[in-house]
Amino acid sequence: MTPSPPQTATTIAEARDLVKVFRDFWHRPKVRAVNDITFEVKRGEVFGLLGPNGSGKSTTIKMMLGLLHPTSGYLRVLDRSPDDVKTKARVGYLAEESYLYPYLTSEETLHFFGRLFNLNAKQREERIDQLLDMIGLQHARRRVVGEFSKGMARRIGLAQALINDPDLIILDEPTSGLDPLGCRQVKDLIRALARRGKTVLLSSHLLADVEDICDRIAILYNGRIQAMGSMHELLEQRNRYRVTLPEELAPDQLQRVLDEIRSVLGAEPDIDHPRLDLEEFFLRIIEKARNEVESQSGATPSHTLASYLSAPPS
Amino acid sequence: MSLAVKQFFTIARLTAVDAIRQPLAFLLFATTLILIALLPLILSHTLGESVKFVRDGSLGFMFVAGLILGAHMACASLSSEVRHGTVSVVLSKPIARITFFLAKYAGIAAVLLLFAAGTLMAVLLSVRTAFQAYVTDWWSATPLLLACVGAFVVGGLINYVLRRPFVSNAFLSLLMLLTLAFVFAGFVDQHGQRMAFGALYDFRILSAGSLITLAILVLAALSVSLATRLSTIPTLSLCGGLFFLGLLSDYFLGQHSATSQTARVLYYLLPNWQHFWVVDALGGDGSIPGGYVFMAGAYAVLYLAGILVFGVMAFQRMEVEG
Ligand SMILES: Nc1ncnc2c1ncn2[C@@H]1O[C@H](COP(=O)(O)OP(=O)(O)OP(=O)(O)O)[C@@H](O)[C@H]1O
Ligand SMILES: [Mg+2]
Repeated sequence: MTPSPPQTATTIAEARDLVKVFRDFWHRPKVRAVNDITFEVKRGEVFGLLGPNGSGKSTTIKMMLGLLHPTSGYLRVLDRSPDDVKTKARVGYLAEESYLYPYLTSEETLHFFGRLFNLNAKQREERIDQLLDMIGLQHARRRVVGEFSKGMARRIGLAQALINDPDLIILDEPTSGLDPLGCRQVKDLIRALARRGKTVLLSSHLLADVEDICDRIAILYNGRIQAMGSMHELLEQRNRYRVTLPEELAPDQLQRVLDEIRSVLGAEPDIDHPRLDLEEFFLRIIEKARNEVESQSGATPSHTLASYLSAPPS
Repeated sequence: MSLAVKQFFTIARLTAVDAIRQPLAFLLFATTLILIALLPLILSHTLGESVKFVRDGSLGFMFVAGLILGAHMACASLSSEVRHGTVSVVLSKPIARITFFLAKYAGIAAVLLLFAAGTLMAVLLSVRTAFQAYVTDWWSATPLLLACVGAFVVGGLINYVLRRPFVSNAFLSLLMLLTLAFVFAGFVDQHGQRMAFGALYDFRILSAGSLITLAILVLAALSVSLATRLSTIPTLSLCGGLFFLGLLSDYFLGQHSATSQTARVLYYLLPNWQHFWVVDALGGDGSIPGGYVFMAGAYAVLYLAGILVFGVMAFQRMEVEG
C-alpha cells in the first residue's frame, strides 16, 4: 500500500519509507543508518527526534538538508526537494558540532552567513545586533570564534541558523555543550520561536530537554522509529491519578483527608513530599549567586526574541 | 549583481581572509622571502656565476613554496572544513555547489597571486643584489631584509596596540613593506644615487615567474579538487606525487611516447612542469619569446579549466558527511 501524499498546507516536512545506507569504498553496504522511517512535521510545532547515540538522528537531519542523499524513500521539505536552493533559503540549521570559521569574529561570522542569503548591509547590521543581544554575546562581538567556549560557539551557531528568519529551524542537539543555564535559555528560545509560528525540528538524547519543549516526538533506535506521537499521548498514564493538595496544609486537615481516602479505597495511599527537579534547584542557586556577583559566565542574554523573526504567513 | 555572483565573492573573500590568518601561510611566505633574501649574501663571494644561482634558486624556492602553500590552503579550507562540518553548514544555505567550489578555488588562487607577486619582487631584488660579481649591492639587499624583519615587528605592534590578529596583519605588512622596498630600491642605484625606476632590475625574470605562477595555480586547482574528497595526508601525497611525475614526465614518458600508447596517453594527461620552467633560457642575454609564454599560458589555462570541471562534477553530488 502506498499512501497518497497528504499535501496539506500544514505539512512542513514529510518523510516516507526513508532509507539511508552508508557504503564503503567499494560501494558495499556498511551501515543501515536510517531504516525505513516515516514521519511528518507540521507547521508551528516543535518536533523532536529522540534516540541514543548512533540511532540515525543526524543522518535523518542531513538528508533533510540535502547534504546526504537518501538511498530510497520519499522526502520533501517545504514542499520541495531538500536539494533545492529555494528550500534552503527558508531553512535554518544548527549542526551537531558548532565548528565555524575559527579565525572570524562573531560579527564577521554572522555577516558572512547573512551575505549568503542576500541580506543587504543594513538588514545584516540590524539582525546581527538583535541576534547578539538575544544569545547574550554582544560583548564578544569582536572576538574570534575559535577562542570561544563550547557554549559560546553553540550560541553563535544558533544565531547563524536564525539569520535568514527561517520558517523551518533544524537543530541537531541544540543543548549539547551548554551549561544548565544555557540549556534553559535555549529551551526558552525554542519555545518562543514556536510561539512566533516557527516550525522546529530538533534532535537530542537528553530526555529532559525533549520533554520540556517538544510537542511531538519520534523515538529512534537502530535507524527505526520505535514510537511516535505527541508528548501528551505518549506519556500520560490514563488509568492513574495524582492529587495535589494545597500548600501549608495543617496536620489535622491532612489526617482527615487521608482517613477519607482510606475509607473510600480501603487501601493505604502513597504519600511523600514533592521535590524540585535538579534543574529548577540549580537555576535558583545560580540566580541567587548572580544577584550577588556580577556575572562571570560567558554569555548574558537579553531573554527577548529578536524582533525581526517574523511569523510565517498562514 | 546576481545572488550567485555575490555568494561567489563572499566565499572567495572569506577563503582568502581565512587562508592568510593561518599561521602556516605566513610562515611559508616569510620563510621563502628570507631564503630568497639570504641567497645572494651567502653565494656572492663564493661563486662567479652567482646571478644564475640566485635566479634559479629563488625561482625554485618560489615554485616549491607555492605548491606547498596551495596544497596547504586547499586542505585547510576544504578537507578540514568537510571533516569539521563547516562545509555542511555553508551548504545548508541556498548556495549552488558549483558556486561554492569555484569560489573556494578563487579565494585560494587570490592568495597565491599575492604570494607570487611578493616573491617575484623579492627575486628581482635578490638577483640585483648578486648582479655584480664579488660586490654585494646593499642598496637592494638591505630594503629586502628590512621588509622581512619589519613585517614581524609591524604585525606584533598591530597585535599589541590594536589587538588585531598577528598573522594576517604580518602577512599583509610583509606584502606592503616588500612593495615599498621594491619601489625604493628601484629608484636607487648601487652607489645610493637616484636613477630611473627599475634600471637595475632584470624584468625578463617576470616572464619565467608568471609561468611558474601558472604552474602553481594549476596544482592548486588539483589540490582543491582532491581536497573535497580526501583528507589532508592523501591530498598532499597525491599532489606531491603528481608534481614529481610531472617533473619526470619528459624523461620517463617522453622518450617512450613514440613507441608505447600508454606512455603517450600519460604523457599528455600529466601536467608537464618542464613547459613552465624556462629559467634556463634566461642565461646571458637570452630571453623567452612572447609566443612561447603565450602557448604555455594557454596550456596552463586549458589544464586548469579541465581540472576545475572535473572537480565541480565530483563535488556536485558529493555527500557531505562531516
Ligand atoms: N559518514 C558515515 N559513514 C558511515 N557510517 C556513518 C556515517 N555517518 C553516520 N554513520 C553511521 O550511521 C549511524 C547513525 O549515525 P548518526 O550520526 O545519524 O547517529 P545519531 O543518532 O546522530 O547519534 P549521536 O547521538 O551520537 O549524534 C551510526 O551507526 C554511524 O556510525
Ligand atoms: Mg548526531
